[in-house]
Amino acid sequence: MKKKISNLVGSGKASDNSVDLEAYSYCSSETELKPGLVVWPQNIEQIRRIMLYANQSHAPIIIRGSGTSLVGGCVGGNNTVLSSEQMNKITKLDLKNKVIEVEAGIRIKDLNNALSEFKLLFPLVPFNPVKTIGGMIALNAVTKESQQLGRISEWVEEAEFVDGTGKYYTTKKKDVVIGKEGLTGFITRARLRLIEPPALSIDIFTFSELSQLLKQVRLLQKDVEVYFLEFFDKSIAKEMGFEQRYLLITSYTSLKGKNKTVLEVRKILEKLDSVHPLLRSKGYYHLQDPAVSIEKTYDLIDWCEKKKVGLHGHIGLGLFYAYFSREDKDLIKTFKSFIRRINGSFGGVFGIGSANKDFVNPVKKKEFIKLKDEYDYNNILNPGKIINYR
Amino acid sequence: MFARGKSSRGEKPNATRKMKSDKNKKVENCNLCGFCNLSCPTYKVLMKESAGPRFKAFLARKKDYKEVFFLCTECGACIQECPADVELECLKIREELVKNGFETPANKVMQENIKLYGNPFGEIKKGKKIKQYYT
Repeated sequence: MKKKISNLVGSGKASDNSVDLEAYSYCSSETELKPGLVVWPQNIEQIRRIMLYANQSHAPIIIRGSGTSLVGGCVGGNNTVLSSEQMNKITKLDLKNKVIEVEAGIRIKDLNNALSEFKLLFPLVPFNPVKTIGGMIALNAVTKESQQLGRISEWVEEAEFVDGTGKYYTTKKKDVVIGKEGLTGFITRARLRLIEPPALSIDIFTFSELSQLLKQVRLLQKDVEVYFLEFFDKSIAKEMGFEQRYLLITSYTSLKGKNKTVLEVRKILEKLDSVHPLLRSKGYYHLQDPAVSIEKTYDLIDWCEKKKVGLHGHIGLGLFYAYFSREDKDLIKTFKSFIRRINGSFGGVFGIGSANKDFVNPVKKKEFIKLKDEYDYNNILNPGKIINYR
Repeated sequence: MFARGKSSRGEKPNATRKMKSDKNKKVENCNLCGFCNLSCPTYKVLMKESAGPRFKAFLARKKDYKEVFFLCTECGACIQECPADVELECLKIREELVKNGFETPANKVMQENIKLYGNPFGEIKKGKKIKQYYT
């Protein structure tokens, strides 16, 4: 297998060395599954050939970007990991139309660093900017900016990909891969819309009563100038250096917020960026991403507060992050049952992967099976993720 | 252990990133977010997970010290980028590896060169300068 793939991609671009296999056995979810081979393709033709070979030999492939999945989406035992890490170039920048073409392996932070020279920005920045564009497209990522800007699908003009049978698609088929978590194809290149960095202002609200908080959220949801709407529970607010009250950080694309100088805004944004890593480094290893309606938000916050589960999220979108410690495995099970009881779901931010399979509704399952039938009927790509196909 | 200057974001980390805690330096606190890979010069050149600091932290958490710990320039960029303030102490780990009899062949050659020629590159050929050996 390694010999054949090495012939396709060139020496040094495929490895079954034990060190490399161990390095690709984990992701940010801490799920550990050791692959049988790791491949770093350099171009579309190589990916196409690998897919064709994988179909002939029925060798499953796991697609991986920067390995930041929180649901075990990019690890697979004994499978071949196809890493987009080395396909990370900017291929075209159209300054006039504010459009960029990039290879799938480029990381958001690297992309925005390169764009800052031209005073442009790819506006959807996840809490982990190490994520690759390919990974974000595969998840149809949502970020705090989605309150105003929507999901990444609205910012992807085109997505090129090689499907599970080795066919290469250039345009007009982006919906086949957006949000499909690599079940239908390996995204190779994308054409993205850009904006000029907006001038933001920020308001910080604190509340002692949940009802007051939710009233404010309902008001702000109607405001078209709201860029993001971030909620933090009392304990996280304290960790962040605020009062131990419910915290709502609201950003506007106008200067009506109280914090409007570049320094003030930057300072608050940095605090927001550091919440996830800080909490995880304090022992909150297990992260869940419940999605609930605004009507059920009260129940969710109340439950988490009683059980001492850290909670924050994009409250305007009904998407949250719940933090559990290493010892909380049983509590996570109870939490999942609770979310099911209040008609909530999981996977809205992190994707389904292998961790949230129980929360895929039958309609979505059928949709995936239909896509698999057309684009990956041998079930080569990411087998066992989202659905059990065949 | 490392010089702590400005990060790649051009900021003084401890002055502006107040969420950091001084107690948070243990590698056990690493949550594999991968921020460190963003700025690591070794990773940037090789573009393989096995060359980056996240893998080293993954191994260090298990105290599973391997040859990859020699794949590090000791620049400290990973520490600057780490949101959890984890300090990956590659030098100490290398020291332990050497104590346990593990050393890379390149390291041995370098030591010999220093002893024999006073430089890590070996004998300087006539007409050549040291710079030409590493550029």
